[in-house]
Amino acid sequence: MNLFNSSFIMTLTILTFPIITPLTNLYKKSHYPGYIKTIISISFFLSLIPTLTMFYSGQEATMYNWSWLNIQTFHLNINIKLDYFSILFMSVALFVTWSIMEFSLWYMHSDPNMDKFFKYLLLFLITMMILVTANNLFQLFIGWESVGIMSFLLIGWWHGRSDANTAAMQAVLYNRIGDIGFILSMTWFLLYSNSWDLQQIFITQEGTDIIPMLGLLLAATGKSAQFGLHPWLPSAMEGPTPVSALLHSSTMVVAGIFLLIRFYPLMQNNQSLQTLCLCLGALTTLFTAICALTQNDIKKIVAFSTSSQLGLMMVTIGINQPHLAFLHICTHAFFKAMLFLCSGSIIHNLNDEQDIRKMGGLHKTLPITSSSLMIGSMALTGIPFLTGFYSKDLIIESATTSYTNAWALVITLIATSLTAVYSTRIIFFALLNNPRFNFSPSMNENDPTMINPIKRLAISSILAGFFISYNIPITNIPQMTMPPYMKFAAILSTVLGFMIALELNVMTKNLKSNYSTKLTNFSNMLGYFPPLIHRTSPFINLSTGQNLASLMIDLIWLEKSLPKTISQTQAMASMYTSTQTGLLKLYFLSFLISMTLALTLLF
Amino acid sequence: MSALTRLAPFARVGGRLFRGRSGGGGGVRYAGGSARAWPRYRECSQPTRSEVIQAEVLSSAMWFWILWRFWHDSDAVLGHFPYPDPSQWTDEELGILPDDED
Amino acid sequence: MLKIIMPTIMLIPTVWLSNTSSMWINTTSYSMLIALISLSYLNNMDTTNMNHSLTLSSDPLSTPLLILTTWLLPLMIIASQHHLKNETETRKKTYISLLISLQTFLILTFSATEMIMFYILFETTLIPTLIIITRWGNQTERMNAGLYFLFYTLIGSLPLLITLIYIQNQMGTLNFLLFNYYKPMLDSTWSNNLMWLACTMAFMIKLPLYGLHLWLPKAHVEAPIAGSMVLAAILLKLGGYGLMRILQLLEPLTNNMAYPFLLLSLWGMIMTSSICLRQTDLKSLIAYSSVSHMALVIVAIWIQPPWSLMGATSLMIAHGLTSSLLFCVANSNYERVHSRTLLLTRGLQMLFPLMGMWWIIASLTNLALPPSINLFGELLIVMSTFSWCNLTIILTGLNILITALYSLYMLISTQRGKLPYHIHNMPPTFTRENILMSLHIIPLLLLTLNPKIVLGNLY
Repeated sequence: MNLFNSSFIMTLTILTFPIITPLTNLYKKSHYPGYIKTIISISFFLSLIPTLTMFYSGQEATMYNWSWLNIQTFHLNINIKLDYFSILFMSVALFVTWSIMEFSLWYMHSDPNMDKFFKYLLLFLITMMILVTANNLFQLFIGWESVGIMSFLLIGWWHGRSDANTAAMQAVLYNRIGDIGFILSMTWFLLYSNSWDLQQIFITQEGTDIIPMLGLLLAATGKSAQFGLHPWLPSAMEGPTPVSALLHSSTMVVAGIFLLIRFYPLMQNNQSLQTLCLCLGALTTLFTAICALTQNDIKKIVAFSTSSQLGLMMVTIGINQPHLAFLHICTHAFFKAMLFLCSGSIIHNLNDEQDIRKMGGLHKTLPITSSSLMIGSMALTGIPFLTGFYSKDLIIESATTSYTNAWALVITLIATSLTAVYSTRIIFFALLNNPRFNFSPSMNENDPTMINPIKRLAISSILAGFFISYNIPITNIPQMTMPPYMKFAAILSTVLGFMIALELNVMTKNLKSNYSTKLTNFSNMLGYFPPLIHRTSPFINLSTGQNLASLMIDLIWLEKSLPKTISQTQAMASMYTSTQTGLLKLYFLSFLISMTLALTLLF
Repeated sequence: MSALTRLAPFARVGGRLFRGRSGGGGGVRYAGGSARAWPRYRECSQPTRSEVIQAEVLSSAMWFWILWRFWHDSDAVLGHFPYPDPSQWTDEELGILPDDED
Repeated sequence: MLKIIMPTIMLIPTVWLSNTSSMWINTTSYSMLIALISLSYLNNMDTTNMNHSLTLSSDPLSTPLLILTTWLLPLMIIASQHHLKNETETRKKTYISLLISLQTFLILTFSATEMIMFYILFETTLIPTLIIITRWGNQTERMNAGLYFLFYTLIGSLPLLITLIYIQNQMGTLNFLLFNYYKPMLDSTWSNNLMWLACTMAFMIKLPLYGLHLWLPKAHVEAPIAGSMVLAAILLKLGGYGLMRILQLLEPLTNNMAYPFLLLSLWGMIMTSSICLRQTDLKSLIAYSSVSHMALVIVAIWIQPPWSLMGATSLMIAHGLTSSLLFCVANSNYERVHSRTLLLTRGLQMLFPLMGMWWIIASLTNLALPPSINLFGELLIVMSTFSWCNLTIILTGLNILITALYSLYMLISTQRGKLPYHIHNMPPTFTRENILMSLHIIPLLLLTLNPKIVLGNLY
């Protein structure tokens, strides 16, 4: 008997306390957001127990809690699976959420509904936990849909603003398209494996059938914003910065990749699916990196950076390295959340200015934020021995040494250098040179609730990669031998990206700005994907709904065919048979003639 | 060589930190602690000394970590093992018999 | 069964003999008590049915619908309090008596054992509904609505009467408990096909099938709130219930005859969802959403495997509660602005936060959020249609997508966005309205914990 199961259950149960306490009288006395932050920090420290137990003794568990439904031979239960993936993700997610909650105490301070905001963030965390600890597909689906709906509520937090509502609707729309794929997989697994339990699926299936795998891929495309279903992620930046930091960088968007990682026993047998993942991921990472190059909103650049890293995770799954992808999920959470928090600090200190063309010179006035921003950017680009290096470099090395699609590989390397380019762009425009904003006397870094999370995440961006990768159970054998040009490929492309970007920025700093070239427009307008798809597709759907369904069929054809036909025929018939015109001679004659005819014919 | 003059601001900042309170710009209103100085007209408020020190500590920690790790683990960046070149392998070590023997 | 039928009938004298101040309280509380009594029928769900008498029985299929019916009466009475405020006392009492008589007929319908009795009561439920729609509706179109409602249903059900009499002559009995034991295997002759059509058309029109659904938007929109609630929640389910009962007789014919209706429903599901995206009228949106959900039920019933019938019953109960809830929240808008146009009531989350929460929960259950029974029913149906034909996942998936879209569209239009300038005099949410919404939501959430009771008699 050890503390494994019980501490895990405690972790999850503690998280539900702040939802229940408002129903009692204890609520009024304490400061509710601070209470939630404390609960999450306690939960994080409790979750370290299962994590360390797993590291040092390799223990994993599956808990079967409650039988929900038994239909003939099919059993649905509440099943919690605590394996390497869910335990490590929980600790990482709780740590990042703790920092984000503390930051939100400062960021959302002036919001009248701050308590509700914290409650929504906590609900989101609980549903994310349901998703990662689920052992059967139905429970995963519960978590999956619920994080989508919490995302809707949180993106549309400032619901008086129509852009925010549109962005929230867009998020749900793209997620639902992915859900169709998820339901397809659930259906297929039920019909062919008689169960939604992951263990039973892995035993009975070999993964050679492409249909359920395609369904899972579609689900991951929708939730993790791969190319084709990606526009919702930059639009999701309409929500407050803590929402962007939590949902759209660390936790929700990795749910799609997490799903594919969960199904790795099936995916490792299916070569065509791996190729699909590889190409889709490579396309995503390059496309979104290109789009990030000319964006002017700091949050959108970081959002595209997230999207690009998600593409990289998909590439990793495509080269059959699910554990590396998971490592990248965990390390990415740290520095991406920190990048968002630093952006939030900058935005608030500049009186809600998000355009990088109107920032500058912040490294003098906000030194801690700017140091953290630089540490985060360097971790993101994979500078050796920071957090990002331990996952990203391993991924690129595995990709270059594996027998894989050369186009995808080249694309990924180009995207790596572009990562350095847009990181330099953020640093250059936001931190360096002269200020381009009006002065703001309240620009400070006094508040510990703002600065402690950023410092915490900065230290973890430096150290966490090392500590995680040296303590986790051995999951894959990294490639140790490779030619020097492959070894240096990642670092050289990053350094190249940095150097070119720095040179270009310094060189063009004082030039007059030209008219945008076609390439700039392509990048700035996100590859023209939103204007094309967001206009044609809804127009077709809505005009079909209006013209075809509503007007033509409902109001015209169906009305005329049944009711109007019947009523008009009846009216006409009754009119003909009931109008007496008084033509007696005609009536008698017709009677006489027809009677005579009948009698003649009869006899 | 002239690029080295670009490093001068670092010396300036470090000097200011060491020089103490009198360097904290604007009008310092409080007598003790590192209270924030009220900014001058059309200027942003200067960061306090503790903030600057914290920022410097963070970045120097990062560089220290990178260089220390590089010193101890340079394999990770430079390569663990040299890549074998098949053309350098002799026939003897591969066990291939020479052509004139049979 | 008489335990609930007699009290319901006795509610009518209760209404007429109460004085004005206690009339609402009496009816609401007694009907709530009757609803609580009806919960006891859930007890024997492991046996096939409970025979209360020669003519009345209850089995796992009819019991959830019965409980839904009795639960809905107090909710209808609570919801009607506002719009009957200014009527004379006699008219109020007439209205409530109509609701109670409708309730009695519905209870008898769901517990009837013999098909002729079921048919007679099926037709009888039309009359109080017709009176409610045409007398207490609000716009001039209510006459047209009542006409469409009555004649669409009658055209389908008169052939059913003839067929039932024929079957009675052939088989000697129409007791559907005995259908399982004596089932003629019908071969595919012209007359048998016509008989199949005659049996099913009445219920298909009631459900409604996509091509014959015109009466539904009209009737739902023009009816007052209690009429809309009972129409959406129960009367549509009468069609589903009848179809499931009569399905046992129609055996091998269904394999071929059901195709046109299946295809029509699959297509109609998407068409009506698309219509919902373009509606300007709030109640009409909810009505078309009912058509879309019921089309899914039709598809489920016609492909017939046990899983889909379970999904159909689950979806019927879930949809009953959800649709009724949506009509109640829409009515709370209507009572304040006296118009059903979506554009007139926007940004209401600022004014009525608690009502905003009810709106959110209603929309979320409408779009089938897990783990609610809406999702469970839809999931079972999607799975059965996938096993019937793999390609239907495209259509059902598209339907799920569009359902999410219009539910959230409705939510965003009414709750979010800026408050328009013309909204001046909106009284705050009454406690009565909050009770109404929560009484809808609590069963829905509780059923999530134990969906076994709504899974019908094939569980």
